[in-house]
Amino acid sequence: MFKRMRMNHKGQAALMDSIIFLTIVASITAGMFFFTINYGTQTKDQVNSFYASDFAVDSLKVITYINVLRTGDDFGYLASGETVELDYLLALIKEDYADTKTLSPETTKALVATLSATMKPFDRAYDYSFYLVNESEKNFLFALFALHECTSDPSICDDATNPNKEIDRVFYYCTPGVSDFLEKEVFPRAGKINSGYGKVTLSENIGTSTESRIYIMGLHTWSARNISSLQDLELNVDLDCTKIVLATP
Amino acid sequence: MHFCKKGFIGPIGDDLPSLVPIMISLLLFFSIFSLTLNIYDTQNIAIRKQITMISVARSLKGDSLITDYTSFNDKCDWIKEKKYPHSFMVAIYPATGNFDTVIQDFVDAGRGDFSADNFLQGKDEFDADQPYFCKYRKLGSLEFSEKRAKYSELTFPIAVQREREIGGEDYYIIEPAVMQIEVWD
Repeated sequence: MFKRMRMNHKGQAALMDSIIFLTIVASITAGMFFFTINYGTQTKDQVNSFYASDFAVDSLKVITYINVLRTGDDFGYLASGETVELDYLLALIKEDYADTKTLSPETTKALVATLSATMKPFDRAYDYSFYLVNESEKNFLFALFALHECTSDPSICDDATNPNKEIDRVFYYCTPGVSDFLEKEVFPRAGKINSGYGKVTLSENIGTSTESRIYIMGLHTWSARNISSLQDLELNVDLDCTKIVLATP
Repeated sequence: MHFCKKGFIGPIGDDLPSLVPIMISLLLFFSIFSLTLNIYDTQNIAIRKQITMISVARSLKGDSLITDYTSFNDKCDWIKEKKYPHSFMVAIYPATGNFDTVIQDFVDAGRGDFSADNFLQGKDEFDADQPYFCKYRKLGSLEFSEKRAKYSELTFPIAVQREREIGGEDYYIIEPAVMQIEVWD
C-alpha cells in the first residue's frame, strides 16, 4: 500500500509540474501579448504628431508666401485686358492693419480663398480656425472658422441616416471680443487638436509715427464634428461673425 | 514490483498526462512568440515608412516654397542618392486639382504615363513643360500598384512659384499647391 501511494504521488507530481509550467508560460505569453499589441503605438502617435505639426506650420508658411489679386478675386475671374494688381496676402493684411486695424472685405476674401485652397485635401474630414491675436494684450484681430454645416432643411439635417442631407464647407470671419474663446469653448469639445503657430509684426500709423505690435498667427485643425459653441455663430454677440460664401469660378 | 509492471505502458506512455500541458505550453509560447515578431515587424515597417515620408517631404519642400521645376528636380536627384529603405513617389498637385484619382495618377505615373495631366507642370531648363514628379524605386521592389495593401501616403501644403497667364498676360506668381507622397515596400 505504501509503495502504491508513493508511485501515485510521483505521477501526480509530474502532472503538477507540467501544469505549473503551463501556468508560467501562459502568464508570460499573456504579458508578451499585451505588451506586443501596444508596441509602437506611442512612437506612431509621436510620428503622427510630427506630421500634424509640420502640416499646420506649412499651411501658415503658405499663407505668408502666397500672391493674390488685390481685389481678392480668383485669378480665373479676370477678363483679358483687365488690370492685374498682384500682391502678397501678408502684405494686404499688414496694409489693412496699418490703415484701419481691421481686414478689408477684399483681403478677407483672398484669405478665405487661400486657406480653402491650402486645406483642400482635408476639406472633407477637418474643420479649422485661423486667427491673429495680439501677443501681449491677447485680443483678436480676427478669427476665421472653417466648419461643416448642414445646408439642407433642418428636419433632414437632424436625421443622421438621411442620404439627402447636404453638408457644405462654410467660413465665418469673426472679431471676438473675448480672448479665451478658443481655449474655453472650442478646444475642450473638439477632440484632438493639431496646431501651428507663427509670429508677425503689424504696424499701425499713428500720426507721423508708427507703432508695431507682435501678433501670433495660429492655425488649429480638428476632426469635423458638431461643436455646440460653434453653432449659429452669426447670432453670437461676443464673436461678431460674418458668414463668407466662396464663389466658384 | 509486480504492481509496477502491471500498469507500465512505457517511459513516454506513463508521462502522457503530464506531456499534454507541456505541449500546450510550447504551442502557446511559440504561437505568441511568432505573433509578437510579426507585430514588431509590421509596426517597425509602418513607423519607418512614416519617417521616410516625413524625411522625403522635408527634403523636397524645404521651406515650403518651390521656386521652379529645376530646383525641385535637383532636390529629387539628391534625395534619390540617400538610398531610403522604401520606394516612394512624390507629386505636386495644383490646390484646385482633383484628389479623387490620386492613387490611379500614381499608378500611371509610375509606369511613365502622365496623360491624365493632373500634376502641376513646371518648365525645365529647355523651357519644356514637365510634371512635378519624383520617383525612387528601391532595388528589388515592385512597381507601385493600387492592389498592394502595404502603401502609405501623406499630404503637405506648399507654395509653388510658376508662370501663369492672368488677364491675357504672363506673370510669375506664388500659388498654393499640394505635395502628395506615396511610399511602398
